Amino acid sequence: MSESNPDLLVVDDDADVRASLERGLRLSGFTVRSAQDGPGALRAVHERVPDAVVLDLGLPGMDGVAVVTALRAMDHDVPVCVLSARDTVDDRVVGLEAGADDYMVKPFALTELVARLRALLRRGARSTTPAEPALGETLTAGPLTVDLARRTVHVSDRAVELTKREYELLVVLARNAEVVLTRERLLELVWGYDFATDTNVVDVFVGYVRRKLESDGTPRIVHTVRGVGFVLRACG
Amino acid sequence: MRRSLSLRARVALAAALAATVVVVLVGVLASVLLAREQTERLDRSLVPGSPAVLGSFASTRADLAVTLRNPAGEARRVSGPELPLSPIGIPTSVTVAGVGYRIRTAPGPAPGSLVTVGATEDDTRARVAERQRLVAGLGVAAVALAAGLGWVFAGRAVRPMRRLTAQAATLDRAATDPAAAPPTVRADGSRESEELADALSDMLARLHAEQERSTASLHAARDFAAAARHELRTPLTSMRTDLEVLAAHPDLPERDEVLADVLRAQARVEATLTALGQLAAGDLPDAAGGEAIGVADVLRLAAEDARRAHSRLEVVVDEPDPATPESVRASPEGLRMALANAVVNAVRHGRAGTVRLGAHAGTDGGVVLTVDDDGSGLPADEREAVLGRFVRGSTAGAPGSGLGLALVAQQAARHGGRVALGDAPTGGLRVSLALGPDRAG
Repeated sequence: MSESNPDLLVVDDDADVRASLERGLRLSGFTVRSAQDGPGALRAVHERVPDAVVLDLGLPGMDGVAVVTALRAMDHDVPVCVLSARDTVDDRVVGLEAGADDYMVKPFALTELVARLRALLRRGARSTTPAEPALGETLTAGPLTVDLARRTVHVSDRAVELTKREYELLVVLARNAEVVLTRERLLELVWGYDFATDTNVVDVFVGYVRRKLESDGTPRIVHTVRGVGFVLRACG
Repeated sequence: MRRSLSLRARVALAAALAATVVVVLVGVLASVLLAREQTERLDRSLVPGSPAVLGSFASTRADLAVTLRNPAGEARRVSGPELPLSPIGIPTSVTVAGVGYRIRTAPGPAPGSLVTVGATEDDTRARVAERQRLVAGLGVAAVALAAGLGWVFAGRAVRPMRRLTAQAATLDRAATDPAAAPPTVRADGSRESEELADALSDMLARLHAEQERSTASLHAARDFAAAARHELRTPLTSMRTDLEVLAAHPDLPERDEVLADVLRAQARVEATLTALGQLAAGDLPDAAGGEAIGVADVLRLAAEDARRAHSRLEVVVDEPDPATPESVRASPEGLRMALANAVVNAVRHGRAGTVRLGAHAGTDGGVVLTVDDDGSGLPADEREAVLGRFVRGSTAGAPGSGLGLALVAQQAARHGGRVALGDAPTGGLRVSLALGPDRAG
């Protein structure tokens, strides 16, 4: 990745949106490539892996979710911000569950997209965990065990598959077990958003993590503290 | 809520009432006949014989009284109290010393003498009263029996009604699922209940169909609204991005280019809104059934519209085929809008230079209006899909609302006709709007 001009890939089927975003992001200091459909996006990634991807969910043929799934399956953990023109929750749920890092609903503020992309890129540049974890270093809280070196999660000996962003969210919550973390703090710690931003991406991801941890009836360990944020409690 | 008497109780009551009427009539008749028969029996026993015989006879029966009168009219009592004289041969009721007697006078054994025989009526009255009591008792029993049987049989008769009520009470739960088959009720057992059940089932089926229709249109409206929002968000996204760029970079060299993009996005929003408005209006039924318009006029008007809207487009109007009906009954605005949208589609997505408007006789005797272009055409497998709302063809030349051909299809449907896309003789796409024979003339 070039230090000055991060390399972005913009994927949208609408020529006008593509042109506007290309220009806007270029003027915001990014190097921008674009693709108009899913296969085009994967070809562009294959050519040169970008530093981040801005991806429209509503692509004809191979849709945005399929693109994210394919990217993650190919072990690319490049930050992906999905764009959705639908305001129903279902859409972004599938996009984020497939492994995207954030979502924005069209129409959005370009400055907001730029700020989030920069934060995601900074996050991607340095390791999410402060130091390289030593082999065998684990976090435990009640039935939860996180092996930091192997990046694996177990709940009562059951392996839980988490996407990168879900894993990072869980690690932050587990490191701060019994401490209530506000949404703002979580946005900062997990996404690197150290600016005021209006998003419920934290709630969406907490929802995913809970669903995966509790899929076999394990009692809830990630709790909502209403009006404040979230907390991981080992019991009750 | 105050409930009326149950049907079962009503039937029981009616049975009791009918039985009462019958019992009273029969009872009254029976007691009258009984009384008369007893009196006649008594009268028959008052047969005077010789005083001696009478004397011995009277002595054996305490209830008998015998009085003899000589020709002078002096009474000689044989037994019992002295009885008054009564007309000869006619049984008469009298009261002697507080006791009721039935008496009869006949000529006595000696010439000129008269004998009067009497018997107390007490026994007879008591017997009659006893029989009457029996009849009354039987009557009351019959009435009670009738009421009881009425109750029992009515219970059987109203059982289908009860079943129907029970079914109807549980219906609303089953009926809330529009995907399920329409609910029916059954109440076999009596013709009335079966008819009622059939009528109810019919009503439920109608309601169900109505509910299905409204659910479907609600879903369609919701999907449509979501699609419309989606369509508007896309140009708004590029507009907002462009405007932010303009705001952040006041001295941008490509400023004019960005402004042109903003204006184009704005035009897209406007076009989508216009099309949405037309779609909403086109969903209204064609109330008047349309008016008669000349087919040649339709083509001429559409051509004028096309020339006005697309200055660089060459518009050719062919003479209608000889066999074509001269006029159609249709909404003139609807047809104009449909043809105008077909032309827009040719220009915008086919990049056509020439558009040819024609009219032909349909195989069914109707009218087929055609819009041919010399543009890029459309792959055959997309020709059905692009008639849907918000669907764009893969060869679409410019961003559009995805509603143009949907509007053509809507107008066709509104006129009971249909739209078909095919190859134009001029090389591009042919949009055919077929109106049925019922619209011709």
